Amino acid sequence: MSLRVLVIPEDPTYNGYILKPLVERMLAEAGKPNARVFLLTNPRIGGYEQAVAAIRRELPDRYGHFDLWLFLPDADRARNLDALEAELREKGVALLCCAAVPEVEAWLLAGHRERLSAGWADVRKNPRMKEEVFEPFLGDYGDPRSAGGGREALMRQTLLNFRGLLKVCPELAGLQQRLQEALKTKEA
Amino acid sequence: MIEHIVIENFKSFRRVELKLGRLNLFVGTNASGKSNLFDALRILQGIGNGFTLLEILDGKPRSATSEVWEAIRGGSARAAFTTAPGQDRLVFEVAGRFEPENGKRWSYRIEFLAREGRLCQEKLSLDGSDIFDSSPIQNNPLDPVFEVRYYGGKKGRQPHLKFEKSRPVLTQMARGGNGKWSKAHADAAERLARLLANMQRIDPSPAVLRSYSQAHEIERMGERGENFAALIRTLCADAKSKEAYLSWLRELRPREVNDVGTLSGAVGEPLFVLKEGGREFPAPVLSDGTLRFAAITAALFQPDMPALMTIEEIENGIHASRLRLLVELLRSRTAQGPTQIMATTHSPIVLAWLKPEEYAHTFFCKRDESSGESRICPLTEIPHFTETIRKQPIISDLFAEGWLEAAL
Repeated sequence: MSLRVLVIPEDPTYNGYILKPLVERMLAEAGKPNARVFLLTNPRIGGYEQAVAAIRRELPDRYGHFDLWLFLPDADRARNLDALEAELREKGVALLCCAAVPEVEAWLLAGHRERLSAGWADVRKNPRMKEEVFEPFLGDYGDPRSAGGGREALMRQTLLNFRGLLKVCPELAGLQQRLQEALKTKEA
Repeated sequence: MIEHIVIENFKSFRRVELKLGRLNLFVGTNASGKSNLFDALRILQGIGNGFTLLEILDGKPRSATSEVWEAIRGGSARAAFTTAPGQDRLVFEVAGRFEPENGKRWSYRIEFLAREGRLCQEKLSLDGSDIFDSSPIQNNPLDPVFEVRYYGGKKGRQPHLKFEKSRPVLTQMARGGNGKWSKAHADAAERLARLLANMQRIDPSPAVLRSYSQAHEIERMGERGENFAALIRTLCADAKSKEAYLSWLRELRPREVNDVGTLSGAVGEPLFVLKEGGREFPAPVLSDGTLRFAAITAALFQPDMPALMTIEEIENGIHASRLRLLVELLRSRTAQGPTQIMATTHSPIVLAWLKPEEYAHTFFCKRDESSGESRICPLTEIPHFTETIRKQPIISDLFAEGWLEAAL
């Protein structure tokens, strides 16, 4: 049976267009191109606190049999992710957490740096990145008629340079590394 | 866009009044009145088409100027809630505004006897000023003409104008009056008639979607999906439209759909095809659900969009885990385009993906068992709904367990 991976976003409505193809690509790079990636949509998560509560309470019963869980929140509210991973490990769940700096949308923007009005270092530091950088960018370059208002197409473009993405988003490079290690451990 | 509608004495409605938004969803058990509401919209469409009142209710064969018009279910004999002789007066009142240019507000009311197909009252207003109104005049039921007071005459003069009694004044005025009424008023009537006529029902049939289109390229497909492939060919001719359309199909079948297009038959007639992993999957081998989603999505990308689109049971054939996508698609297309959507659903999952601000235009339909009367109520006006949903934000459960029915 192919590897089953659960992706837990802070908000599935729009983050899914970024996270699902990203995780599929990361798994393919880790030698698992046929892994089945499920985006958590039920319970419908509406923010960091709800996501953590679901991870602790409801999800282990429902998705505990999955091979791997990935929790990918925005960095602004993320706290004690190591402890959360350890807590789930005790329940038999392989959870990897990776907080996007500053927010998940930066992972899409990483492939379009030359089109941004701000420098990449400033984008990564901007606490209002979504409103001040991402939304204007989406308005300029996303087709509002497309799925996710254009996020789907723009993320596919970002993934054309996967190495470049890992280079400018070191947290993703770290996740890729940990993902490979986790898969090796599972196979062993 | 139609912002407000009142229906009286029609089918299962004694009286129903709704404030509409761009995206409107109707939920309720079978035979609760959802389809009757859509029939009321078809009556407005027939009015906009300029048909006689009996043609609207009983149907009309194809003519040189119009397609076949199917009868409203039950026809003129079963159109009224109160069916006693002389009491089958149907009332339809709509209001809204023209868009996008000047946004002038309009309101229109028509009352007519269903069995006789005879006008009783009719009134049209623009920006708060009446254009014509029959109510100040005592029309003789036996008189073959129907008089209205016209408010566009010279100062102080409000002439009476005579029209045929068997068809709406609105479309008679739209044809122009040889100087009896102003061109501006004829234009306003024509514009409203066009808006009402410009409705499209979407109920794609997989059998129709699997066949070759007769047309080669079109800008609007048929109600059952006729000429679906021709529409796809039109969409694919524009790279950006094709990419946007394809993005939704990719979400439906992730990691499968690479491309979309058409195959050509013997004389170039198109057949829908999906390309997955380098292989072509023509319409005849695709599942009902995939075809239905592809057709509904294509309808939302038509170059010639209707003013109002109705879709019954939007979730039909679509997997539960993809209904989120359907809600997002409807939301996205109504937010950007000129089209107002009215859709019915029986799916709790569709409701689960609505945003709280969309509850005001999500309507629960219920039929009273003893009186047979249908009620339609926005979720936000169902007693205790707002406070309940705040405490237990799982609307799908409330719907599935019958809470909404019990609360109304």
